[in-house]
Amino acid sequence: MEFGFTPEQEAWRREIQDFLKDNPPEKFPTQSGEDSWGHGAFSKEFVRLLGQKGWIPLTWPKKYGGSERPNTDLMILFEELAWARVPWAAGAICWSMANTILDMGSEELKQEFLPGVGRGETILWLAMSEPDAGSDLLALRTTAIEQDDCFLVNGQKVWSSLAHISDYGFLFCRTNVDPKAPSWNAISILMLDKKLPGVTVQPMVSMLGDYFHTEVFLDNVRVPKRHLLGKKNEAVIHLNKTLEFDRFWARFPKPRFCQRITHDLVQYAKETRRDGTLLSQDPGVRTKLVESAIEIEACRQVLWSIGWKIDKKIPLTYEASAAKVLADDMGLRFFDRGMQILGPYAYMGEADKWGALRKNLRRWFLWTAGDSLAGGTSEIARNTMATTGLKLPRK
Amino acid sequence: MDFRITPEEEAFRKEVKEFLDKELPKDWPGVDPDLYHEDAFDNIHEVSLAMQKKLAAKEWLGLTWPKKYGGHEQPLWKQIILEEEMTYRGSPGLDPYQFVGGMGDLLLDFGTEAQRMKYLPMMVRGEIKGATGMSEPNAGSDLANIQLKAELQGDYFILNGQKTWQSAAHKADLEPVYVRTDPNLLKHRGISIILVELKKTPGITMRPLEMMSGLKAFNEVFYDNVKVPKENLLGEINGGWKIVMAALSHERAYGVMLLINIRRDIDLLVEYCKETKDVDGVPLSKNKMIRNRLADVAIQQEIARNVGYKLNHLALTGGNVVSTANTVKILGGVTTQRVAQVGMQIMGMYGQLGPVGGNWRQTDPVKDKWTRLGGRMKHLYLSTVCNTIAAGTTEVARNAAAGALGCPREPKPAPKK
Amino acid sequence: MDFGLSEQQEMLRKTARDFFKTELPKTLVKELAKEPKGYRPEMWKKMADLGWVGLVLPEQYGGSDASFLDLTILMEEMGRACAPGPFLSTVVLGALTVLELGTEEQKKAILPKLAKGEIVLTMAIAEPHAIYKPDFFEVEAKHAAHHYTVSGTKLFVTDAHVADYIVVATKTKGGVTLFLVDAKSPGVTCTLLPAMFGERQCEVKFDGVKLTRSDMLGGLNRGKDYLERVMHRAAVAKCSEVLGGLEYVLEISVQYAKDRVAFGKPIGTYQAIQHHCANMLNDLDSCRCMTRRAAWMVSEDLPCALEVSLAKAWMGQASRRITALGHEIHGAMAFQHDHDMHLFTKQAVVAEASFGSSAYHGEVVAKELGL
Repeated sequence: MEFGFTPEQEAWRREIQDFLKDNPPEKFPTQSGEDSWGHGAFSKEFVRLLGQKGWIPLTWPKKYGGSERPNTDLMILFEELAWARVPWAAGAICWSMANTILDMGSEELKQEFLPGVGRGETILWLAMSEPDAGSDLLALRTTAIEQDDCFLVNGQKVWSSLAHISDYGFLFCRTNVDPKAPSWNAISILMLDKKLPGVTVQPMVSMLGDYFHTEVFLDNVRVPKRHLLGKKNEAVIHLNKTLEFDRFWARFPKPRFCQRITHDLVQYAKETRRDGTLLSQDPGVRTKLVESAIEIEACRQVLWSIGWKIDKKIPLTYEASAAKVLADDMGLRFFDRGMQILGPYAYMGEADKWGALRKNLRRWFLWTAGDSLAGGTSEIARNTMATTGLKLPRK
Repeated sequence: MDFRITPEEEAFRKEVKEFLDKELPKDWPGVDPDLYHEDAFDNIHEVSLAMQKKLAAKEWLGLTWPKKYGGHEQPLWKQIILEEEMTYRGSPGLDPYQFVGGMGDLLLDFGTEAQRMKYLPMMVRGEIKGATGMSEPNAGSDLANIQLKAELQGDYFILNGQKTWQSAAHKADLEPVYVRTDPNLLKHRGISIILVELKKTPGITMRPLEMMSGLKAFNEVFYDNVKVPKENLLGEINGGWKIVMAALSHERAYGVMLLINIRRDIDLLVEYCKETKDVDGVPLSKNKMIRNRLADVAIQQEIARNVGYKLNHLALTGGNVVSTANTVKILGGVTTQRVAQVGMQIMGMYGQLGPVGGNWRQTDPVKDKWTRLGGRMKHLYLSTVCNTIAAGTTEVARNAAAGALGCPREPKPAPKK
Repeated sequence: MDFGLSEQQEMLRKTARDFFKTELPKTLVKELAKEPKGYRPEMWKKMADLGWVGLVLPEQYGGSDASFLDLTILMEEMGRACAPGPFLSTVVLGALTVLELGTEEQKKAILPKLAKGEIVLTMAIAEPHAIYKPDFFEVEAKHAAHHYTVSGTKLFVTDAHVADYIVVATKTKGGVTLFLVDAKSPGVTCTLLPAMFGERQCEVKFDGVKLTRSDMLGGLNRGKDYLERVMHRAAVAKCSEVLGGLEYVLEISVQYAKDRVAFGKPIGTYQAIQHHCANMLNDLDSCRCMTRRAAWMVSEDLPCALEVSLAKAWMGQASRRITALGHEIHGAMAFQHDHDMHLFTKQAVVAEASFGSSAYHGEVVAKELGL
């Protein structure tokens, strides 16, 4: 048992920190706002830079442009990116889908997509949920009927994050429309080129007032057969792996990000007086900051332990769901406390030193409400933990 | 909407308070509304019997019952005030199994004239103790699963089987026992209620169970060919389920009583914090974290208590109590547990000291020298564990409350082929 | 980063689990809780023979030279078994203190016998008004001629009633000094306090107890810094015990959810129960990570004030949630004394207050955050 980092890992961390010092968030234009998972804002420019450094394909096989570095190095990278609040969301979103391509894709498909994704030049979006297929994903209705020269796709997706500024959709669709077909033998994944005729992307206004999610309408879209990922009808067999990537890796940076914000709030508390008392000495504020620090670290440690299991190739059962529940519940409580610490001042204008923090906290407080629903609701995730992890009986 | 108290209510409350000041032993620490202290300690049981007789003398037993059965036909608001004051002071004597959503109500709603004439007057005179025979090892949340058999043979029902979690049973004279009279009907359709005179009927064995708090306050009760006259059937044969529903809805009182009672503990903690100084000579009540926690828990109790008032109002005006009763039950459980947690945290290392049952046995000047508040917080922590389980689990209560809001029920599983 | 146990740790864990399964059924735990001594010396001897009492002592004193981390793995199993007896007192509070602060003579006199299971030690820190606050100690060691006289009352001294030696933290003119006191010395009175369940807490009165310089541990006025290290070790050891117990609580709760039928289905089918189990699992996993990390840092002698306090504070709240949900899932069943659940509820709530409550450790975290 060992909870420290090796000298090489510490050197890697310093390398990242040096790079980030030279490339602060302000330097990069962004195409969409910051999320509350620690992925920062969406910036194609920054992600291209990460690609140039070879850091997107860090763990990939060399033949696809990777460095075959261990997962731990990726985890260190994620934490440093999250702490620095750089805009790496575009890359973060791609990571899980890239891993699925590595897992399931044919050699041709890997060669077609991975180099572009690895350079940060091809941005993918996850086209999974539909109006009647959220938690119950397998009820999806978008069809992709095999023709002589393509898959003919018809249907609709919703909650497609940032599709309007991405290139290819990771499209979950029904390739076997036989009503008697079991769900594990009916669904495939297609790489959907957004530029194909028949694809309409319509941004949805979030409760924050900005565009993040989209509806995607598919009207007789002809997707080349070579863009089928893996074997036809067998996507569900790999679904767990995909979800694992989404639930675990997407949440991995969240605790470190929340630690960064805690750090900022501590600074704020040390410099702000209210009714004559320094906030840092106000017991209500102190308690909230301390409780946050404890809970965030507890969550962070579990996520590291799951990363270790992945590294050791220990088969996971409930862990990805657990990561999601822990991180998203923690986020709900943390940003709520953050708003309470700011109190009525949370709504003040942006002119002073802490204006940005206040504005961001308002944003994250609203944003985090959606986190517990994304990637599967926390309720479903808990059910999964109970049935798959603890072997409690299913209904 | 009017939250003011009328002069009559004010006057009656004053009368009850003065009665309690006069009749309760000096420095009475207060029992909890669940009867566990009374069951476990003979001296408390003696006080309970004495108080019961005094309540009878004041004509406060069967306050709302018809005069023809010895009752006093007083308005329900008086009964509510009596329950509140007795609960806040932790006074035993107003047996809930008879007078607070208990047998009295069941007899009035479902009993025969003969049963009412036989039993209600002796209740009003404070002559007997009650209990209730519902739970079984496999009939807890799933109450319809009752198995204790009652076969009608001539003029008698013959009872065979077992009950469990029976608080107060070993001291009780009379209880309604929930039995299965027809095993061939669907679960809840084959249930009946039979009034059993526990002390006078042979064949009944009680085995006391010890609670995790150390109190021996509930029992397993075994029925071995127990003969009960058929006249003791309450309501119709196999018609017991609607009586079960009525009895459960009367359990509204439990949540409210828990919330009133726990106020005494909050007040106790506040006093303790004002009197106890930290190393630096400053009272604990000035410690901001402690203030925060006590305020938090007082707010919770006050809010929950107000939901209890709403429940009382619904009962007084004949409104539908189901949803609110469930909410109050849940709030009662979680609020009492929260107070216990805060209490233990405030006590710190001292929290673990104290005799079984808390502040009832301050008898050993050496062993109990360092005990604070008589070990009340320890007892509270251990005893409140059951508050989210007994008289209906919080999970079931939440389902019921959601159902009352209009949420659809879970579909029943398809019958197995 | 490596969250796995070493082969030796796995073996230690398995041996301990098997030992307690055979030697210490819960019925015996409950019986022992009623006895004044609270444990069986024969079992203590067996544990010593297995090398457990001397586990972290150097071989030259009869120990196995294992790490503090190894010790905490063993203590997890003890917590799971609700093992009564003066283990934490003797090993963490006593043996490690003598090992670190004792002269060679003191070490030779105490440690080998301790490792063999022949003597029991404990430490007296808390006082009635000053729980773990060395700056406010009133138990004083007054210096006169060639000896020191110790007077005052210590409280919540675990296992003092069976201890052969008590390490007492006293106020001296220039700070805090630790003394190793023979429990049979004239002037030492131990009184057992009516505590929660298995753990034995005592009041220890020192009435003009005469000690010399050779009874000092670590030298004059050197005690305060050491006390901080003791608190770290003891807090982590306590967390380890509770952790083992909580793992068992989850296991039996899940099993009950599978076995218990209500309304025609196992209750584990219902979402409310499934969610309770999932929440317990998350709390358990996070407790395990936090506790083991703190244990590793203590074991590696790294600065760990923050990590220890994070672990202890988290354990306080998480253990309360886990035991409460364990009860919720078991329904009325576990409210009985006959059931095992309450052993862990009690273990957890006492542990929260021991070696620093959540509020105490919360303050440490606050300071480390810079507040």
